[in-house]
Amino acid sequence: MTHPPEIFAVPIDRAVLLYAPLHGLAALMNRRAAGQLREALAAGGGGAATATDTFTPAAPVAATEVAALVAALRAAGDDPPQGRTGPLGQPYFLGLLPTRGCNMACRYCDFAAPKTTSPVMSPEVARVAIDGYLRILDAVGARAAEVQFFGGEPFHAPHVVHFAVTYARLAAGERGLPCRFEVTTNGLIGEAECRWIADNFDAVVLSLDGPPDIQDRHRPALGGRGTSAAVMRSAAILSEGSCELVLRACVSRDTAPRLPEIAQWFGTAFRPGTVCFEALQPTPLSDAAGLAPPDPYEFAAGFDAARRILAGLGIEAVLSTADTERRQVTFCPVGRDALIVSPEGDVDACYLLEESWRGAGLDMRLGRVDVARGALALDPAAVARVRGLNLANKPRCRDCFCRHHCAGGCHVNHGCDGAPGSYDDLCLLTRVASAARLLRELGQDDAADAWLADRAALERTAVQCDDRLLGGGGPA
Amino acid sequence: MSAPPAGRSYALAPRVRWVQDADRIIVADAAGSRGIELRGVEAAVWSWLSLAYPYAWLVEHLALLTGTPAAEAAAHLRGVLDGWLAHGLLVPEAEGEAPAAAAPAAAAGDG
Repeated sequence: MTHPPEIFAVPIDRAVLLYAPLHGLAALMNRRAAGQLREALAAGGGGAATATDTFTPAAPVAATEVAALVAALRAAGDDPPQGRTGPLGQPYFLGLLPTRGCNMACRYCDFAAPKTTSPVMSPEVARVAIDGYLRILDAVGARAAEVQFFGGEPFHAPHVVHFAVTYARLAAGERGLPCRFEVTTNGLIGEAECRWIADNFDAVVLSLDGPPDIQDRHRPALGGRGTSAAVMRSAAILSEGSCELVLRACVSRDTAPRLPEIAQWFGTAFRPGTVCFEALQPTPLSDAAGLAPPDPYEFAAGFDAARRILAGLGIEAVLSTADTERRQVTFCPVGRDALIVSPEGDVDACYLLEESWRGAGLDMRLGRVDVARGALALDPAAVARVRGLNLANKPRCRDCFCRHHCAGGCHVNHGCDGAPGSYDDLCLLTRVASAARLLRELGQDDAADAWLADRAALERTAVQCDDRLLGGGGPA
Repeated sequence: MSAPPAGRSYALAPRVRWVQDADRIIVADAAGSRGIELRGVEAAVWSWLSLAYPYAWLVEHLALLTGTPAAEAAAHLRGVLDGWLAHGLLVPEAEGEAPAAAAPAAAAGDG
């Protein structure tokens, strides 16, 4: 079956943003030029524009530029990213979930695990998991190890983290492997603990939604008291430490208009290497707390502004579904052979609760930590099954210009079984934020500013179902 | 000075400073007149001491870390601690006294 080439065209007000990710090409042009480009490519032929190609694009895009685009797009682009195949190779990383418990009561939390009575991983499970992972690395000739910690809140069971980090460092070192450590934490931790983290981790993803009024409203401690002071102290300690600090902010309808302010505060109060912004996803808790997801257009425009502010401070801003530098078939560790060990010793492809992924009709179970045998028991058929959770099986994404970097988002929380082009709010904000990024990278700041200020224009861009230049869709 | 019986804890001496550097820990007294480099098991023990884990916890987890019986781990630990005590890098906590350093995160995290 012949697939249409991965060449996309989306309307930007009265212009057209051409985007060919596998050719590494983007351009802003007027509609006439886009139409002539489409005709030339649809007519086929290889190499440079031929004598029968006639381009009269009118200003500002010259005929020679259209011809150059035709030539570039007629050439074969890169192969689209492929999912993993074959035997288990180097796992993406080893993930450890010390506990699903947590010391906070975030108002939008979608983790149904008990806060204070959740099981805790035993040090024996951690050790066997680390040993099994390192044996896999030995077998494939890997040059480095990576261990990531998730929760709940991983430092709600700190002794597990303390043991696992020291053991992994020691065991990897005996194999001559450097070991990278990363943790995602809510930051509600003691000062000494935080300094230990700063010394022992390579990267810390710290959840902090904004200045104190936002943080205390969104992310209180168990019992309802504010957490901003403690979390800000943690952010300050981590800023000064040797680890990379990544701030992760959840944005609601109320806070989206404050994205520029939040970005400025993050960039001046702390020293993050990266700031990640994510749109709040509705949950029963968020509904009860009166927290709503952001308007997708307001979020995308705010993210664009935040990104520019942070760039001026030398800080990268990321919206995980709109990172146009990525080429991937899966948005997350799922499908990349990440081995994520639950407190009970199950090995899964995803760190979310089993009830969440089973509720979505997915089976993320890869195997089990067999403490008695001192080994990881992995099912190759399960690994192959999970690898199938990728872009090829997401019909909603079929004709979207973001498909190769967004890859459909979270497999569990963002179903992509709908008809091609049936975009939801997460899709809309991804599409707008991605287009904005491409425009900025093209130096088309005036066009980007005007477009982002025009909601009707944003909607025309965002709701276009079929972005393929040669797929029958695209601008008229 | 021999290692006290299990149940006691140790604190890092107040004048001691240390830094984690990749897979080693460099320890120095405040005057900078003496420094030692710790790696492997010793670095792990120092790291755990900095988090105020008691002696019994150290024995249990050192055994797991090294894959040795508890008695062997205890003997190993005593040797390490004796050395650090002799160099003035550690001070023993009185029995029944709470560890001087910050407690593990479960007890902290005050807002």
